[in-house]
Amino acid sequence: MFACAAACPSLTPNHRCAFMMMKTPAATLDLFAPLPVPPAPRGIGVAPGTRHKPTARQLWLAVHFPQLALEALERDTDARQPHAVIDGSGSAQRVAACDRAAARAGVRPGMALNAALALAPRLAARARQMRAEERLLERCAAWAAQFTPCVSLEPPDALLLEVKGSLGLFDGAARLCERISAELGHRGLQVAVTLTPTPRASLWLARAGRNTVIIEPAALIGALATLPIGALGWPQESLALLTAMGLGTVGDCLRLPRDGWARRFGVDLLEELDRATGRAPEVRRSYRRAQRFHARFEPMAEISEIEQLAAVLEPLLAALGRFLRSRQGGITSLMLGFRHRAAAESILRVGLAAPSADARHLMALVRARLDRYTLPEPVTQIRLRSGPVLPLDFESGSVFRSRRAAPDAAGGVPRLVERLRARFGEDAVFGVCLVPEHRPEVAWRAVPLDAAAEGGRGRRESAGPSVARPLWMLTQPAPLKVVDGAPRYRGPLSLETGPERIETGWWDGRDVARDYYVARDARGARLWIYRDRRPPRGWFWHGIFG
Amino acid sequence: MQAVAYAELHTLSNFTFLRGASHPAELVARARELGYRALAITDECSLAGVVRAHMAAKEHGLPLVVGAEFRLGDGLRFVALATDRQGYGALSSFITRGRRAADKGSYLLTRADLEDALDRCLLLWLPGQLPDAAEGRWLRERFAGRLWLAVELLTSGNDRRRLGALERLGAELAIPCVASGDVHMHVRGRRALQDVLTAVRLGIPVAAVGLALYPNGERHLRPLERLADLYPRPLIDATLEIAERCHFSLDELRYEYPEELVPPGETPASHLARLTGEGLRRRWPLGAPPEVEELIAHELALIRELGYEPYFLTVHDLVRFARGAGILCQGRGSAANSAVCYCLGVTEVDPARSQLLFERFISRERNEPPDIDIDFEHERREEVIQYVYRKYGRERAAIAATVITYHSKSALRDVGRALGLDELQVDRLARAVVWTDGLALDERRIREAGFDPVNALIARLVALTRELLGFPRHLSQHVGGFVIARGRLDELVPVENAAMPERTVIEWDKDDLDDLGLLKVDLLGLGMLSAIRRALALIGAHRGRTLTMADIEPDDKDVYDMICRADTMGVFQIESRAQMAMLPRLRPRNYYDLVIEVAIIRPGPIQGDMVHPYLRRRAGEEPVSYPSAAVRRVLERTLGIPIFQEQVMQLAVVAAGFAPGEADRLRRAMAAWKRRGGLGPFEQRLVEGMRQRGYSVEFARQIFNQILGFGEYGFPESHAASFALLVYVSAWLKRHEPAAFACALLNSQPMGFYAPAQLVRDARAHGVEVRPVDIAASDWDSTLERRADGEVALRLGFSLVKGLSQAGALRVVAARADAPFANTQDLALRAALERRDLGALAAAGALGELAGHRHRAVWSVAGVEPPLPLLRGTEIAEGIPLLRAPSEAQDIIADYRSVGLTLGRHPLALLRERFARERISSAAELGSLAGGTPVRTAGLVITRQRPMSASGVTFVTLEDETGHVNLIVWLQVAERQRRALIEARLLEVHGRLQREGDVLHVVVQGMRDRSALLGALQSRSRDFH
Repeated sequence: MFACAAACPSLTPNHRCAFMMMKTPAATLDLFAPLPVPPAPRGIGVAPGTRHKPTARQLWLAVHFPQLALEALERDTDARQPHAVIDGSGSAQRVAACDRAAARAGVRPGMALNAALALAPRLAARARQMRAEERLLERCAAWAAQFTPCVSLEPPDALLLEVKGSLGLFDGAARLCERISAELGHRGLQVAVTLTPTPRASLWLARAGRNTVIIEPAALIGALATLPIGALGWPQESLALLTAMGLGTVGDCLRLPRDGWARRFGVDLLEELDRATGRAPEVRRSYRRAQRFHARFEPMAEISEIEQLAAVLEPLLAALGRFLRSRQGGITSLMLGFRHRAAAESILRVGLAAPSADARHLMALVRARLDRYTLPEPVTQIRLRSGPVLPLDFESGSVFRSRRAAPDAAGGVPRLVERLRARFGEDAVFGVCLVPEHRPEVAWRAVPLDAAAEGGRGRRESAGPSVARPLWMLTQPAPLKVVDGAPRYRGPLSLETGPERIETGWWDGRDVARDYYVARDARGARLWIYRDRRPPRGWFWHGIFG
Repeated sequence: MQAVAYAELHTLSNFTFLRGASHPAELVARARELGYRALAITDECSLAGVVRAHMAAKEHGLPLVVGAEFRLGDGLRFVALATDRQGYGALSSFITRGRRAADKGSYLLTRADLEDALDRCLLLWLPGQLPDAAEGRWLRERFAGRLWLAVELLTSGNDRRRLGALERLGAELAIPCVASGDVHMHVRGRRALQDVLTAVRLGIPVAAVGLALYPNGERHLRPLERLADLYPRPLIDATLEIAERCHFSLDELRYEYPEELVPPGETPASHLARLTGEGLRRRWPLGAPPEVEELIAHELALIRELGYEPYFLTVHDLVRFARGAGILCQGRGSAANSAVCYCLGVTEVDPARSQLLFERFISRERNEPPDIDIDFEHERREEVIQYVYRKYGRERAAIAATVITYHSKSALRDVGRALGLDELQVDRLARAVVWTDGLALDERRIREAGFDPVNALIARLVALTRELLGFPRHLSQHVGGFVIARGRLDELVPVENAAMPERTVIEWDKDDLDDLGLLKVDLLGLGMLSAIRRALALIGAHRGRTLTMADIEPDDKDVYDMICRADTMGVFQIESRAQMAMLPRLRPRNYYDLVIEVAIIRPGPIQGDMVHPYLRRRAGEEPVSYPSAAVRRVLERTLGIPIFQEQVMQLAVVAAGFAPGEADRLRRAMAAWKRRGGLGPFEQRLVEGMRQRGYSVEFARQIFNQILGFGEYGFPESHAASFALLVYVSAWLKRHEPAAFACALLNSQPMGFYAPAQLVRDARAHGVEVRPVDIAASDWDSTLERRADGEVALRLGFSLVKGLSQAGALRVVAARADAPFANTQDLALRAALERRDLGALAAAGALGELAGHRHRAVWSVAGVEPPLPLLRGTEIAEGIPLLRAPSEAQDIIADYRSVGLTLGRHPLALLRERFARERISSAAELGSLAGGTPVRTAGLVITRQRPMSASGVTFVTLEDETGHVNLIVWLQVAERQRRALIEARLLEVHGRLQREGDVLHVVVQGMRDRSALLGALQSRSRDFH
């Protein structure tokens, strides 16, 4: 969703085909040179043995999203209605976040759902979507990569950016903070942005809602000292204990003796304090987004023939194949865009039944699609975008076999399906799955092929109707002529078995009440017919036995 | 076509939970309507619904067959039907065996269980989809001559084929075939509800259930013509043959009392007479008054006539056990207030002092069993229950069931889930629905909750919820109703496991037992009895005189003066807001006034608008008159106003012409109408009956409204009489021994309306010195300490400290007895305290001298290390950091957080100066103002109540350092300022002062949440909560 042009390397001009990939830093762990931890004879925050260097080695920008739980959900348009996101289930349902309208009514995070509803009866309460929150945070991280290669996730609701090296590019710390804050604000996200020499301090201050910029390490302790301990995200029992000792701020904590502190609150919290003050290093894992392959090609001359197009695509796909092999991954979808001089871009999508890294197989699929394709205008530019890279299914043996076996021979059913789809379109091939239902018209449905294979296996065990069902069913039951109260189809019908009474389906408003019979017509065909039990009690033809 | 004669032999009622979709009575009525010759109720491994079916069958004159359906572990299914009493006993114990072998709510039976079971029962084999001949053969070997093959044709498309196949199978195995219907509902129209029940059972929405739903609605009671079409004649005739062989009726069950209570050589009657005589001499050592002697002779004659001696002996035995174990107890109920029970020691209600007549409670005509509930100290009831099990064994004693039925919310919830709504939606809808006699939906509120009231889904939801309402959902155990039998109980009624380990319950509830005339004893727990026993013991220990309830001086003027002032916090029954408001108006001056006081503040009299007329007549502002002499006899003792449940029943008899039995059914219906509805016919009868006998329609309406109110909480005179005694005793203790009384209440928590903070404040207001929890002086319970002046002081116990374990506290007390503690390390070591216990003590400020102020104490104990064996006694040397001493406010708030109360100043005292500037009055200042004055006040919210009977009013009580202020918040104000009303811990209100006699209220016009002031008190920085 966010553009990334600025951060990408430039094109290689001497090659006829230029590739652009979403780049992420190579290292997944950023280890920063650890500071020696000095012995601290007195308070946690007082370290007379060491002197801080006058300038910070790193500067960390924290972005805290206080309303992320709310922002991750699709919102209704009615702004007057209060909204809240609810965590937990049953009697433990609590408000995770709420909007301004809800807050005006008195709803606050942490409040029990019942209490919130009592305050705001019109509250639109929705279940928390952790997955959506993760995705939104990841999207923000990808966006933030324009400011620095070092972006780190702090789930559930914050990002950390190491920006020391980038400050020059963005007119200094204050400007950068303002810009990030403003741009995320434009996207409808509420944020608090803080910049300090340590990630932990930035995070704490941002969570406390303080939009602070501190460049000098010497100023850090002063800023932290007034921070209430409730903002640190520490465990409840530790907070309760601190409060019971009359301690309310980080400053209070920093005055305590280190050994006494460690004995009472453990080394973990001591370490957190040290990290915040810059006395101990903090190792942050950089965010690395799921990879895709992007490529763009501008031919020397416009292309109007499909054959020509295919010839140009081949090296593109070969590059994709190399890209995938180097990552030991495969793709299940592929998008090709053809730009034209005037007409809108033609988009071609190819889907695969299983992840593949085989360029020849991919080319075969693309070919099959192109064969049925009519270009509206000559092509001026081609772009290729892969779906996300997925791990290859090793059990299928594709990695080891792909070089020896021809794709056609190794394919089996998935390849057949892919080719049928490539030829007739994505929707033309589907599976059929039995639905456990008494109503015949609802007892099957179309599903994606892989689901059909699974569904078919699973259902076989459950008890189906004990009586015969015809193989061919009419999409709509057809009324039968009735003479003297008896149904007719190409002449009189003789009822063979029945009735089988089916009355069910009230819950979706399509309740049926029918008596089914197997009937034989004058020519000996066996029909499945029913009589509606509701007035006017007509007869219908619903299927035919093969 | 000639109609056939048919009996349905395989019917599930809704007591086969989440399968059957009709009430037993509905099935019976429908079977009768269709002209069935008989109906068998065969719930799955259960007889829970048979009593209801039996009562309905008697009413409709339809023969009922008692049976049950079973599925063995290996899948074999059959129905068993009882032919006679013996067969019924066999069936009941077979069910018991299956139920006892599995967890609550399920059963487990195998073929081995069937080897020697179900004597004198008939069996219908239910073959599967593909009949297994081996099953039939196995059954035939054991049940030849009383085994049939059930042919159940349900229009599934292959009926003809299946009929043929089963007939051939029957012929091959020599098992006769019989028609049956696998009935799950009384009419086809319950199909949707039956699907919903299936979905609820499987825990998934209906739309996802698929083939586990039945394909059609054929499993209902089908018309005879249709059955005649489906089945060959011999199969139909066989149903009658079977039904005729099953001639057992539940009426044959007779309760047989335990025998062991009568010593050899005595009859129950002679034994009871002897015990009564002994009691009489104990109660009146100088000889009883002749009226009492006469009364006892009369009662004994009545008991003998009705054969109730063993019942009285059973109750006497329980009371005797409790007395012996030092457990305080008291009987109440219709038979409890008899002179016989007084002599037996079951109650303390002196027949010479009361105007109660035994015959008012027990009568020949009504033919209902006597009713005695016994209240025990709530913490020691279990001992009595264990005594019952010990004495009679688990085979002979069990607890009655309570049938948990679907109420509005649970029904809506289950139906909503079955229709695929998510939890949040269902919750919100449940809130939006207004529940009255039926089920009314307030459209505005449904819209507010975000639903469209005309939506088809909502309509479906409401219709199904309405049907499900009142359906039994599961069996639970009754609070204390015990059934004790002479022989094996499992041959009388199936016994199953309860949710509590080591408990068993029978499958019938209180009403079922009443219907069959079986006796039960209610063993209940009552907190006030615990408190009274404790108070008496404390007084005994400190004053050197032993006291019993009987020693407490009756008719003490000071006690009644205190009651009239509504100075009754902690007193049994009359401490609620509503009771306190009534006391200064009713001004009770004697025991019977207390009986009335206990009964009058109940939904019945309030809804029937009886309270104000009674008060006016009592004050002489309104003449006391009676519509007739008959009514005068019923109502004279309550000045012509019906107040007790018994009076309403008697009015139905004398004024509306009800037969006594009918009046009893009315009482039963009253108790259940909220859940089941169905008072309609009674209303008609009552109003019409009274009108015909010359009473005004207005009077009749009033009586009926009162009946509706009693449904909520019926209160009989017989219970009020026993309760009034405890009211008096507890009031006496409060008046004359306030320290012991407060101490006993604290040690009996949780009970009553008020928290320890209010009880302690009240005790201090009555001059009791209260001392804080202290490591050097407290016990687990609160205790009394002797002061230098000989009076007693109340020492708070460790039990009040939040987070402190009882075991830890007891170790502290034991270690302290050896030597006082030197410091926290010493305390931790010698009392082997965990850090959590130490922390709790420090937070409570209970460490006193050992560790300095509270902040230092917490720091100090948080650093205590578990002692290493080699380093015993060595202390870790560490500096104590500079920690600020807590401010007064911080101490007060820490007190509340840890102990739930403070002995320091009230938090409002700290805010008084500020409030004075804001012109906010204290509770004391309000006392001096005239009614009608506009006022502004503020205080901690200590109670918020919205009684059902008070049409949308919320009662709030505020507390400040000078006392309490009672608020009345009308619905409109409450809605407008919902947030402040619900949330505020510290509430400021303005409104108008209302004064009625000594009673003050503030009728609230506006509210403001001032809780932030409490937060500001707490710390210099921010309140992180």
